[in-house]
Amino acid sequence: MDLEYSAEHVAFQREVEQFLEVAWVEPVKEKAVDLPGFVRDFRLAATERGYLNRGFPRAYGGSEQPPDALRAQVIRECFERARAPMEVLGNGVSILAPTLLEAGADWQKNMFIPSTLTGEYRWAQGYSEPGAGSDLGALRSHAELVGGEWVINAHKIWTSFAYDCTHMFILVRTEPDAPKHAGISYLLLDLGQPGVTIRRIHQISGQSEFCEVFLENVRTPANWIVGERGKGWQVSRTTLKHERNSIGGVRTGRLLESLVRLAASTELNGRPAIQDPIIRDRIIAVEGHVQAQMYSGYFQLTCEIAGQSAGIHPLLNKLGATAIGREVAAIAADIIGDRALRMPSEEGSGRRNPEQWLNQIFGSLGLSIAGGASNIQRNLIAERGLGLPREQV
Amino acid sequence: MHFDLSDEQKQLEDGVERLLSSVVDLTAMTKGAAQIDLIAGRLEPRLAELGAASVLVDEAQGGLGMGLLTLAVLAGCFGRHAAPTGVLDTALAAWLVAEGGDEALRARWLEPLLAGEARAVFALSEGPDAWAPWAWRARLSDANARKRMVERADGAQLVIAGLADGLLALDAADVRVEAPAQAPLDVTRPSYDIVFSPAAGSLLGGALAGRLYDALLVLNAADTGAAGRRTYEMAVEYAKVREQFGRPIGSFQGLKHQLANMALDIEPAKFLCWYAAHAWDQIPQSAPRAAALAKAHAADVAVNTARAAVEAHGGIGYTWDYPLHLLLKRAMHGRAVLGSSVNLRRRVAELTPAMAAS
Repeated sequence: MDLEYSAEHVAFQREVEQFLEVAWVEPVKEKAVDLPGFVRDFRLAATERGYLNRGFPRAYGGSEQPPDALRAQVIRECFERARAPMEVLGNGVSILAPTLLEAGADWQKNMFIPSTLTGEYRWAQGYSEPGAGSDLGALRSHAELVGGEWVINAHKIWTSFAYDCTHMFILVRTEPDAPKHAGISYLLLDLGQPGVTIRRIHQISGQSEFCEVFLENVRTPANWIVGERGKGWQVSRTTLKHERNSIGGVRTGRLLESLVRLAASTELNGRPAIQDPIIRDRIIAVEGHVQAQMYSGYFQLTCEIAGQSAGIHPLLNKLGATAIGREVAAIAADIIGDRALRMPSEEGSGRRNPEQWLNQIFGSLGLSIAGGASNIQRNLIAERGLGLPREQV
Repeated sequence: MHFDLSDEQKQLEDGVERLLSSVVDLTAMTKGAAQIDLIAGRLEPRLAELGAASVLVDEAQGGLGMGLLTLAVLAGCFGRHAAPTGVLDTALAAWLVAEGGDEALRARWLEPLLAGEARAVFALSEGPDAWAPWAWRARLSDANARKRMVERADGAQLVIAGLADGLLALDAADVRVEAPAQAPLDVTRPSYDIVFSPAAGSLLGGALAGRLYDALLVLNAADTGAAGRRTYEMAVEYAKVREQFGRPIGSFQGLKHQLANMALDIEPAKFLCWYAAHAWDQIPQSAPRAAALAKAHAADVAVNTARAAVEAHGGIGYTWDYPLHLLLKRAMHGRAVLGSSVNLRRRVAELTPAMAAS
């Protein structure tokens, strides 16, 4: 057991900190920088140094670093402390680009990965449909080859930020006669064309991040298919693997710190809520779970460094974060009390006002559904983690 | 950065695990105290051979110097098997004597304790939930002192009692052990009330009471958490073999989800115990808070898990002959001693700078 970094990693940490001081902290402090252009240049410089896009070859705009989970952890910590942006957010960098790297043709990697890593191409995920949520194999959107082009007719839903995306990766049925999962292909398409309709979904939080996307006779070149015809299901599995790759615990630790700040700054029965014995008890109880998960994350990192399996533990990360989010929401609701009767104001996205916690209260509910609903997570834990038999349908 | 046991610790864990698997027959222990005594008697020399009692004492003083984390690994093995042994108390007592005993005390006790020839117990509680050093009211100047719920006091050679003045080492010959009228909740860990004259003992130096209390919390967390974990493993195995409606009950989603929820609670708890033990060894300023948090958390999830495991088993889980209840009671016992979860969380809150009273 050793929670310290080795001399080599301490030196690396210093190197990253020095880079961040010069390239991010100082310029941001000095003047109001032209943020979009500045952030783009910063990311390029950080990639050049080997800090960002580490898993992608240099030829595709990555920094092509050998896998090193501990260096990656050092980089994450340094960037978080400096509040510097890491890779471009969104499905493009986290899902599509790794999928192309594993399953795409060389020309596809050349054409799509570099522009995706810079954020020029922004990708919507076209998976779920009104009739195909957890049961993705039931999807009905389809495409057929007509004169060297795919003609796509689709109704997709829950596509995050589709209104801000330039492209979509989509699962559609291309082999109508093949059984359920075998008839699906993985296509890419340009969203900037006629026949694309994007409707924003009004969420219970009052926000509209999710969209419905309708594609009517939308066209894409015949070779904008990733993998073979009818193999889209397998290609998308690579994607899901990448989606679950994050290490748990860090975000819930931050959430708990925010909750403690809320309790310290909000009055309950004439004194700060943090002095209320029941609130204190509940905060410490949830901290037990937060810390257990954080040290599970340390253990998973240790296994990754050693190239060993961490067993059941990675399967628990998402459900654990969901459970913590739910309990934090319950405590926050008791602290803010009837201040929750007014929705948070649009401006001031931080959590300075108690009612801003409604965003967490709703967001934690969203987390129980997004990226694999909790009951699906429980099936995964039971079947893959505990080796229980699949339910006979 | 390495958050895992060392190879040496893993080997020790494997060795103890093999020993307990062959000696501690859970089903036999449901048959009564005589069977338990038999198993305890077989276990004692084997654990002495392994040097279990000498893990914490420095090498310079004749111990193994392997730290509390190593003891916590053993505690996990013992909890897993509901093992009837007090060797960890002896290991802690050896450490106390080595660190805080005067020459006479060390000469008298250190060697027999390290060799596992003398057995030590701790006398802490004076009233309901009054286990912690700040709750000890008995004083050296008192004519008589009484301590309650002293685990395995019967047959021990050394008693270490917590006084307001510090830790007192007593020869068991100077202590009267009172057998309780009722049977113990956990049949593998009977406890007794004791009466003694403090003047008969000798005080340990070095202000070790707080360190001892934290170490006890950590070992309890590891033991209790592991007992809870074993009940979940038993429930998972049972779900694979028990058939109803013509299929294994583990294929039903209702039960699967209960088992997945148990996994979520109990699997990561071990890592919190590891951290608390590591903090006691290496980051002493963090140890009191980490120990209290780990104990409260591990005890709560262990009892919840054990209860869910009984439920998952159905009727068989509610019978005395099926050994699941030994682990449920191991967890309940672990939760009830050294401070309730609510009181431990109160302590954690008091040790949190952001929660300090304004």
